Parts: sequence; structure tokens; C-alpha cells
Amino acid sequence: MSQDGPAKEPEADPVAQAMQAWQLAWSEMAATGARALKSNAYIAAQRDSEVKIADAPADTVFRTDKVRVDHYHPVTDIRADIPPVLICYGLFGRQTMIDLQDDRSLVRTLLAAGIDVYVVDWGTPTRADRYLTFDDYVDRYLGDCVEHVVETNGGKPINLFGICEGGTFAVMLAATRPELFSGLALAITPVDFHGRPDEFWEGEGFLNSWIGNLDADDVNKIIDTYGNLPGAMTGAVFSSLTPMASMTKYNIGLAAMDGNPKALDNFLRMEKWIADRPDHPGEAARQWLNDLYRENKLVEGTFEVCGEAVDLTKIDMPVINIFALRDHIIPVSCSKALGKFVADDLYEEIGFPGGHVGVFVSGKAQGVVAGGLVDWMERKTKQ
Amino acid sequence: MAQDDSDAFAQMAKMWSEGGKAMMDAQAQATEQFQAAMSGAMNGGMNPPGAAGGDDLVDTWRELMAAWMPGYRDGAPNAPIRSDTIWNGGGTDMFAQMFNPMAMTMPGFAFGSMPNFAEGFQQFDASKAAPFAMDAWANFAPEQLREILDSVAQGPRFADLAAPWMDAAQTSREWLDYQKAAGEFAAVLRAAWGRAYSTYAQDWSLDDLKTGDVNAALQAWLKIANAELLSTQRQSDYLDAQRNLLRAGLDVKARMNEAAEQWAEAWQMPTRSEVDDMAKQLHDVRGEVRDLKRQLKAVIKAQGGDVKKPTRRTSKSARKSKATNTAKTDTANTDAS
Repeated sequence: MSQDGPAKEPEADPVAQAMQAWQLAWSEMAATGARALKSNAYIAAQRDSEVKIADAPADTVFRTDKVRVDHYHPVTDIRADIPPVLICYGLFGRQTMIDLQDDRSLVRTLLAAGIDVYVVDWGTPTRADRYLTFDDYVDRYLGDCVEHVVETNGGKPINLFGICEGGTFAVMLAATRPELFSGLALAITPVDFHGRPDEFWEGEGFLNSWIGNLDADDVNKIIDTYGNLPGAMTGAVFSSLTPMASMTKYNIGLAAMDGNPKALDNFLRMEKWIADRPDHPGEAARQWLNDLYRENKLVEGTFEVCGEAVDLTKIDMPVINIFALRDHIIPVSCSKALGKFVADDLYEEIGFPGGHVGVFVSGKAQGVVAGGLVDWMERKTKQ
Repeated sequence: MAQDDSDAFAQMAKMWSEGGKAMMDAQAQATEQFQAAMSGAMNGGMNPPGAAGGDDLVDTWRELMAAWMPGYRDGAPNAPIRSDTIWNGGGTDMFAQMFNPMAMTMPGFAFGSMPNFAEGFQQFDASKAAPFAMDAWANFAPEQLREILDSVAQGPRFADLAAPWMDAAQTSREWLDYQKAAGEFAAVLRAAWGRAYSTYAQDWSLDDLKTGDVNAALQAWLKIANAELLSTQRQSDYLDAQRNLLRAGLDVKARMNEAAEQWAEAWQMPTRSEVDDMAKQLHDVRGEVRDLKRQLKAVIKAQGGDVKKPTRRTSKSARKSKATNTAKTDTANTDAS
């Protein structure tokens, strides 16, 4: 250091700086391009028939109309002292998501724990199914499916695991026919369809807001015009809930995968599941949007199934309620609301730090969610 | 280095504005030819514009153009038009401002004046009426047209007189409304993108760009755009535009359904409503059958009886093949109804 103070740093050469910047920019762009090419090359070599999801072996053991119950083959000789579990998905997507691939499969985790697993397949609704209502889905179809598994279980109650809209069906059936169940498990299930908007994070609660912005007549017009609620329409709405993710998944997203076969296979399986979005029967959709989303009749105690008001306080079996803390479709407060209706000693929650579908398909969820579910069943529900 | 020669965006803007002007020139020439042809037909010869008897049809044409394109002015082909439309170079200025960040400040694109870019982009909205935007067309269509269509569509109907023009007017009105709603929705989203770009321009400084870290720049853009879109999707103008677009779209779809029904009816084919009717009846009958089966089960159980599982009836040919086959039996408990 000189007597005049610290030495001044030599001024940066602007031309050299600019050249470095250009070099960095071009190298990053070239690298991104190379990654994109690798991913494209891998995808171009795939065949749709090779993208397999939900291929855990199962037999169809019950049918009614288009609905069927599939019974999964056991994978172990261990038989857990737990009642059989019937998994009930909703109508806005396929239940195949719960068995997406070997290492991301709720079904296989349950089977590996020695649990007897059944799943409801609602089939593919067409225009001919437009008049199916919640009476049909909750009491007739789900009720009949549950009765079959109960009968197979020697007349003893079973566990029912409802997911999303399937969870709402499950909650309604558990409240109207509690004697059928030894336990009720729910995941990402809306119960209070208004929730607490003041607690929503930035990406949460759009469906509640958008549907709440419609009149009853708007909903009626959708159903009367289309007959059913088209799967393409609901798919487009779901995509718009995460705008930039939806816009970039086929370009920036694929490039980021860098040709990694595992990552790309996972991606293709998810895409296969997302693309398989059936239409939602019209009258049931009308009830879902008007009676539940707009008027919140379930928590008000005024929603009826087969003429009987659904009273959630009648749920008298152990309940585990799993929800996703970053769920952009079902706000956390919409799911947690069930806790107000079930006795404290019967009610448990698991809040998973992920998104709506991540609860089932993320690697972490296999331990937290599936593992948590098995643990709860072992503790709380006995044959 | 001359700016126009090196600046790609200025060149592009020039190309667009010249293309627009060329289109208007062509339209004006067509107008003249039309006028000349009609004047010649009326007077037995070709009368140039301005000649006696030669301008009536041209005037009619120009009035029609003015009704459909409020910015259009009659007169000579190269006469200046409304200054704030794209046709006369006002658009050139707008595009220059939008794409050439150097419009007001220093040379060189990469480190140019980002705020001007954002301002220019935000000025490019529905009120300035870019003609190739859907909302611009709806703005050009006069309100009188809607009123005319309404009055035709809502007129009295006669028992013994068909009036297909009334349905056509209603259809046109619904289509106009849909285009207007789509334009308004697009305008809301355009404003959102404009805000996103403004935020990006402010948050991502020139120094950040100078590092050349394009990945970081891209990630910053994605984050800012996502936040802006999520915020916009909650706002009242978005909700209003979304609802109006849904309603207008459903009206158009319902009209299409009606047209399909009428066509099927005319060709003696089952209509959608008829098939829906049948589905409803089947659904109701199924419900009654299920209720009856449950009541029967309950009665049998109450009487201490055993409710047998229904067995599936097989056809004669199936029974024959079953006797000779060793096929695995289906374990499904099929609902016999």
C-alpha cells in the first residue's frame, strides 16, 4: 500500500468484458441446444406402446354398468393384519396414476406391506352417462363396490381410500353408511370447497375463485351445451393453473432433462396419464360445480345423497387425511376442514411438502405418504 | 454505422409497415377500377374518377369501407389516414419504438434502452387497434351492425312463414360477441405480458445482461412472468373477461348444436336430444331396478333367507363349447341386470 492510500484497481477492459459475456452466452445456448437434442433423440426413439403405466397385475372381480373393481395380485406371502383397502379415485382423471411405475406406485407399496388392495375403475363415461349423479356414484356404484369387498372379506368392514373427488365420494359414503368401514383414508380431498382464501399462497385456490365467479346458469349452460363436462376442457383449465410450467414443459423442460432416460421415461408416463382424461358425467359435474364448489353444501350439511343429507359428524371410524402443502388444485384449507367434523381421537393428518400429483408420483412421497398410510392402517385399523 | 442498415428490428418494423401500406394501396386501386368499371357500364364508356356520374358507386363503396374500418378515409389512394393506425406510418413509429430500444437513446441493441422497449410494448394494445388482432376487427365493426342484427333476430315470428334470416342474424350476433369477448380476454393477457416485461426490464439490470449469463436471465424471466400471470388470474378484469368469453363461447356452441339438430331432423336421423332422452329414460329405469333389487334383498334377509349371487346365463352354443373346452372360468361376479 502506498502512502497515498490503497492502489486503484486497473479499469476493466470493456471490450474484453463484452467478449467474455458473448462467449458465456453462446456456450450456454449451445449447451442448452445440445441437451434439447439429446432429449429429442431419446423421445423420437420411443413407441407409445412401450410407455407402460399401471401394469401391476390385477383381476376384475366385480362389475356394474361401466364400473369395475380390480383386485391386485399379492406380491408377498406376508399377510398384514389389516382389512382390505379399496382405492377410489375421482372422475377427473384415471386411477392409473396410483401405479405410475415400479418405484412410484402407491399400490405396490401397499402390496409389499402385505395389504389386500382393490381399486375402483369408473370406466369411460360417454354421452349416454350424462345423467349419472352423485346418487349413482356414491350410493349405487361405490356402495355396491364396497359391499362386494366387504362380502369377500367375510362380511367385515374394510378400509376405504379416496383420492381427490373420489375422496369426496368416500367421505359421503362413510357418513351415510359408516358400518361398512374400519378406516377412512383420504388424499388431496376437498371437503370445504370455499376454504380460507386469506390463507391461499400465490398459486393456490384458482379453481375456487374461477368457479365462484360463475353463476349457476353459467354452469348449467356448460352442462346443457356439452352434455358432459369435457375432459379436454378440464385439462385445459388444469394447465392454466400453472401457466409458465405448462408453456415450457415441452421446450425448456425437455431440454433440462438432458436426454436422461429415467427422467424422460418418468415424463412420458406422466404425459400418458395426463392425456387420458375422460369426460365427467354431466349431472354429477353440475352437482360438483354448483352444489359443492359454488354453494359448499357438503360442509353446510345440505348436500343429499339418495334423499338423505350427508352429515359428516356421522363419520365414526379412524380417519387419515393426507394433503399436499403446495397443491394448486385443492387448497390445503379445503382438505383440512374435515378435521372439524371427526372426533380428535379418530383423526390424523399428513401434510406432504409437494403438489397435487406429487403426493403420489414423487419419489419422496413413497416414503412419506404411502409409508405413512401403511403405518396408520397398522396402528388404527384391524381385521 | 447507419441505424436502419444494422438494426434488424427496425428493418422488420419497416417491412411490416410497408406491407400494410401496400395492402391499402391495392385496395384503393381496386376501388378505382371498380368505380371505373361501373361508371363505364352506366354511361356507355369508361369515366375516370371525378367525372359526372362516375362517383356514385365509389362513394357507396367508400361509405361501406368507412363503416367497417373507421380509420379509413376516402380520397386518393395515397392520402394519409388516421395517424395512430398502422396504415400510414404511425404504426411504423409504434413498431420502431417497440422493437428498437435505441429509438430514443444509445446505439447497439444488446445494451439498449429497456424501459423504452417495455413502454412501447405496453402501448401496443387493443385501443391502438392493430388490424391483424382479433379485438381490432371487433372494434372496427360498428355497434350499428350489432343493433341491426339484434333487431332482425328478435323480430316477431310468424306461424306460416319461415324466417331463416332471423336465425342467421342471431348466429352472426353471437359470433360477433364471441370475437369481442375473445379480444377483450386477449387484451387482458396482453396487458399482463406487458407488465411482466416491465418488471423484468426493471429487475434485470443492464449489468446483469452484460455478464452473458443467459440461463440466469431466462430463469429470472420465467419467474417474473409466472408471478405476473398468477397475479393477473386473480384480478377482476381477468375474471370478468374469462366469464364473458365462456358465456359467448357457449352461445356459439349451443347454436352449432341447434344447427346439427336441425340438419339431423331434416335428414330423418336421430338427433342428439332424442338420444339424450333415451339415455335419461334408461338411467331412470336402471335406478328403479337397483332400488327394487335392494328392497328384495332386504326382504329376503329379513325373512332369514340367503341372497344367492346371480349366475350368468350362457347361450346354447357357449354351453356346448364349455363342455368340450378347458377354459378358465371368469371369477367376476357380474351384475345380472
